[in-house]
Parts: sequence; structure tokens; C-alpha cells
Amino acid sequence: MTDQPIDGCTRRTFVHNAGATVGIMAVGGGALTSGAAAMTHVSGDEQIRVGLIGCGGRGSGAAGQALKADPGVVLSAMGDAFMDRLETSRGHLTSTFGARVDVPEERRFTGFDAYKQVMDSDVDVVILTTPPHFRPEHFEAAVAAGKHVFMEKPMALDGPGVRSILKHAKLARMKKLNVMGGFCWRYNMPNRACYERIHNGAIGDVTCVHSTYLTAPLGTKPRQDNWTDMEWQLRNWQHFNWLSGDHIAEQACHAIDKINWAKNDVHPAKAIALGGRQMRETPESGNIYDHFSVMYVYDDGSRCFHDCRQMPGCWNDNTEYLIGTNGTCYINSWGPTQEISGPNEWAYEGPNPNMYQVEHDELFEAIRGKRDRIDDVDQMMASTLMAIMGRMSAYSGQQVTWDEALNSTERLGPTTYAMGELPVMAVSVPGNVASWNNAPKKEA
Amino acid sequence: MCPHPASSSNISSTMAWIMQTLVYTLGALAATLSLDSTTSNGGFSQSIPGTSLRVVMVPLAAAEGGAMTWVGRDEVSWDLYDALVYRLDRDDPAAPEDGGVTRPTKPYLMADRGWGHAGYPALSVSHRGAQAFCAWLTAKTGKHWRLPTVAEWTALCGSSGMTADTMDAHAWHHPNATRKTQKIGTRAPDANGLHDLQGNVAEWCTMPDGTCVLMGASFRENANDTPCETTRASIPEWNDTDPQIPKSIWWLSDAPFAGFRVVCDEAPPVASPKKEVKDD
Repeated sequence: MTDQPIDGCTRRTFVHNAGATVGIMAVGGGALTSGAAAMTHVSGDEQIRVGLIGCGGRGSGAAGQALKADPGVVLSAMGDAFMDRLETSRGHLTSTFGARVDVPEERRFTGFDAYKQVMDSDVDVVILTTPPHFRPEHFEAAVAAGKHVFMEKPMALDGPGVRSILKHAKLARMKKLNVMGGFCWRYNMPNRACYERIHNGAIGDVTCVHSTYLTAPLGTKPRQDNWTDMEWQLRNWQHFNWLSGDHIAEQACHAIDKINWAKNDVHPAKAIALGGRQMRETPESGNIYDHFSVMYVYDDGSRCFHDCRQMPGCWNDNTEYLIGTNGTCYINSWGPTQEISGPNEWAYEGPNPNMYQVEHDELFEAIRGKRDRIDDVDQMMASTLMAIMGRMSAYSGQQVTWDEALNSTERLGPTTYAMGELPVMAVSVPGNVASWNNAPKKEA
Repeated sequence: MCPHPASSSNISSTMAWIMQTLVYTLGALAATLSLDSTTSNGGFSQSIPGTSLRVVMVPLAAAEGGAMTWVGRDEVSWDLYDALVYRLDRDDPAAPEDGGVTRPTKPYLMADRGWGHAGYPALSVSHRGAQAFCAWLTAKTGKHWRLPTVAEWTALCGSSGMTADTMDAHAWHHPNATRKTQKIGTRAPDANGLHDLQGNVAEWCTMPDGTCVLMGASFRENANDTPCETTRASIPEWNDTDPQIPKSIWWLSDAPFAGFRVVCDEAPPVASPKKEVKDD
């Protein structure tokens, strides 16, 4: 880590980039001449062609929501590391959407470079839903190619990834591309109503937020004889930290995003975290932790806390508790319960439409020019970075500042990708910085 | 071995007579069934090999055709369902499965919604999940486990003795459940010795054609407005917000009211159930 900002990123310049006209030359102004700037909106009845990059369950679900959002949407290209995943996805989507899934063989791409070929397939929108390790690379390519983007959380797993997305987001703004992040609770009506009240002062200044994501482990796929190390890890990607960023970044980032939301995108100065791995036993459970507890400290002295766990048979809890200078707020989005206590007592009563569908409904309205351009970048990258800070602090046992995490040169995972041998990195040991991500396990 | 006669003061005199009759029948059957242990009401307590868990069964008063059948005293708890889903009954979680056992996938969604786990009823469970649990118990114990039939459940409800005046004492339902499930067995048992037949979670039962429906009020409904014969068939809206395609066949993202209890027949286990297709 270094104290010197890289690419000019600091916490104080993290936000308010929207609409910026500076720095564009640094990311290749030549791309602006491609005509992409002219394709900001797609007119009312024109077809919108979607490319799906990452054909797992969630990617297929997102493609389905895109197809439901607008009758003019067609799915026209698909890419995945594996053909079986792609064909399974195509089969399910075709059974529901018929000819609107128009992906002939020449627009089905597999392997690590499949994303490039999808980008080259005359699509207007890309859905980025591979394991998140690859997201920054895919986002860069999407922006360069002038595609509107839906990208699942987390958007990056390390400092270099966060900086890459912030950098290329500037070009996306120049090109007036829509960039939507998959922090789906931001598109959940009960939560929107609640946080709007919080931002309007319903509990005064928010001095503390406690958010939790205590749940059970995710599924694994036993190794097959013909799988290489790489294939085995990709098919169990949630469990390998270079692919998922650990469960704090992969799953619990939703609860961290809600801290960020409650603090109205004011960012913590530092994180102090603990974590460990007690319960994970099978080889497929990889090298991630199964619990974290993070304290986020803000410049004004306020503190927010996040706990996450993936263990079976335990009490589960995915809630936020906000303490303000003039009241408190309790949110269990699954309940659903959104309640404000204090002088401005309130509880949400109203519709609760499917937030995943709301995401795509709003995205395609924006692409049609029926609502303002969507740019989730600052919010989603701040939440992503907060999760990364938590992991870095827990893995290392050290305090990690915002700027240290943002400017970290630590990059997770191999630098080149091939289906072959890939040792499993050792589980990180706090206090032993050398163990973070460098030492291979004895047995893969 | 002769179990003690039923003595609960909650049981009506008619039911007590039926159950005492069953107690003596059960005594004769106990040896052939290798019952784990008998209970004072003529039921038995089934241990689950590989775990420290037990399922408490009481005689099913409305048994059809004279066959001996028992019904779970409680709705199936997370403790029990977790053992199936998370392979908590296995020393080696990676070892191959026993014949006939298909495990539900692990959910990404918050299946219990943070309402309570140990001692609380399993919820968001699809009928396939409920049936997989029965098949697993069958493979584990050598007895035949299944979901109640609609007729059995209706009869159990009809003979439960629960009335509008006493419902709040028996059921966690809309008037008293605070919009969530509650711990099993914390309301008074009904005349059949069952807990939570009405209220807490609605329960999967089988129709004569083999399809499954939910019966009974959950924490969401007023049990007094839910007649015993009421059935609810699964609808797509119960899995609307599962963000994946294909949607899970094991978990219902929008049916936190769906749970179940089990029935055990005296008959020997039937042929191993057909293996179902797993989703991801």
C-alpha cells in the first residue's frame, strides 16, 4: 500500500465526478469519435439489443428482467466461460421469451475473451454478471465500445479494480452511457421511501448504523474428473477470494451499501475489522472467511458497524439499525419492515414491487430517454470499496484507511487466465501481511 | 413395552378414548417398528441417525383404512431442515449420497427472513423440498415418511377442538403473531396433541392426484377465517422475486408462509423415490 494517491483518487475527490469534463484525454479521447456519443438514447420503437456476459443463474435472471422491461428488447449475444452454462441459460430464456432470444451460434461465445466478442456483436446494452473478479476489465471494454451497462455487485474486488472503474466511468459520462449497479435494494420501494425520510432528517443526523448480513453458506459443486483447477474454481467462484472478494464483498456488500445509503454517501475515513474461518470444511469451500465484523470510523467521529457470517444452523439477520440525533430506524428488508421511531414515527405501508424488475424497468426507460441518465458509479463504488476495506483490514489485522484501500496496489488473482493449474491461495492470517494473497496452499 | 396412557388435560374425552385405544395398538406394534422411544400420549420419538435431532410423532386419530399412522407433533423446524440442506447428518459432507436422497440447494436468499432459526418452523420451503425431507427421513430411518393428505389434515383440523374463542391460545396467527413466525410448540396443543396446526406456517399436504397444496392459516392470516378444508395451490407469485433463472425449485422467495409437518406410516418403506433434477 502507498500513501500516494494513484490516478488522483482520494476520498475527497471520490464523488462529484458526474458531468466532469476533465481527465478524458487520459482514457483515450479517440474513443469519442466512434459515434458512440450520438447513441445516447434509443428511440421509442427501435429494437434494443442486449448482450449477456456471464450466463449463470443471476445473469440469466437479469437478462429475463431486461426482456420483461421493454417489448423492444432482444437478447442477441451471449458469452460465458463455459458452453454448458451458456446453453442452459439460452434454453431457459428461450422457453420463456421465444424469438426475442435471438442468439444464433455465431453470437454464442465462450472462454475468457468471450466478452470482447459480445461487445463486437452490435449490441446496445451489456449485462455484466460473470464472477466479479472480471468486472473492471469488462466494464472498461463496454465503455470503450459505447455500451450501456448493467453490472452486478460487487463491481471490483481490490483497489486497482475500483480505480479502473472510476476512471472509465468518466468516459461513460462523456458518452452519456447509462451505468446501473446491482445494489438492488436501492431499487426497492419500501427502502427508498425509508431512506428518503432519513435523508430528510426524520431521525436527525445519523450518528451510527449497525448493519448485518448473517446467513448460511452458499452452495458448492463437487469437482468433476475432467475439471482443471481453474474450471473447478470458476464453478465454485463464490468460495475463492480472488473471484468473489470473499463473502463480505460478494454478498454482505448489500448491507454495507445500506450504511453508505444511510450516511448519504459520506464515506468512512478508516476501517478496523476482524474475521476468520471456523466452519468451512470441503475443498469447494475454498479460501474465504466465514465471518467478519467491521468498524467504520468517520471524520466527524461517528462510527458504523457491520457484521456478516455464513454458517449453517445459526440465527440469521439481515437488518439495519440507524441511530440519529432525533430518533432511530429499524429496517429488515426481507420482513419487510421499515420503521422509524422517535418524534417522526413512521412505518412503511405500500407496494413492494420486485426490485430486480424495477432495476431493469428504470434502466430501459433511461435508455429510451424517458428518464434521466442512470449513473450509479459513485455510490456503488463507494460501497464496493467499503467492503474491500473491511476484508483488507480483517485479512491483515491492520487498520485500513479509505485512501489506503483505494490506492492499494494489491491485485487479487492471476494476471493471465487459462484453463489449467491454479493453486489455491492460503487463507489469510491476521497480523501476517505476507499471507494475504501470496502464499499457495500446500494442496489445491 | 406398554406406553403410559394419555393423561393430558387438554385432550377431550372422546379424543382421549381414541388415543388410549391407539396406545394399546401401538404397544403391540412397537417391537416390529423398532420405535426409538414411545411417548406418554402413545406416540413415539424418532431419532435421526447422524444427528442429535428427534421428530416427535403422535397417533393420527383420523387414520384412513385402519392403518396405523402417526403425525408430527410440530411443524418441521429449521434444526431438522438444516440437517438435510447442509448435510449436518454426514461425517463427510463430500461423501456420495445414500440412495433416494436429494438435497435441496443451499439458498442465496434469506430463507428464514431473520425471524428466528433454531426452534422456529422452516419456511419458504417448496413442496419439492418438503417431499425431499420425507424421502431423506425414509432413507435415514427405514420407515415410510410422507406429507399428510388433504383428507388427513382436514380431519386433524376438524377434530382439533380449536374454536374462535380458543384460537389465540393455540395459534400464532394474524391477531397475535406480530407479522412473523414464532417458535414451534409455544402455543397450547390442540385436542390431538398437535402444536401449530393452525397458525405459524401453512403446511404442505398432498391431493389425491399427487399434487401439493398448502393448508391452514399461517402467521399472516386469521385462523378463524381459514376453514379446515381450505387449500392453496402454488402460484408463480410465490417465487416472483427469485432473481435467478431458472428460479429455484426448492425455495419460494415470496412464500415465507410455506412450511410443513410429516406423517409416518407403519408400512415398510416403499421403493426409493425417483431422483429429482437439481437446480443451481
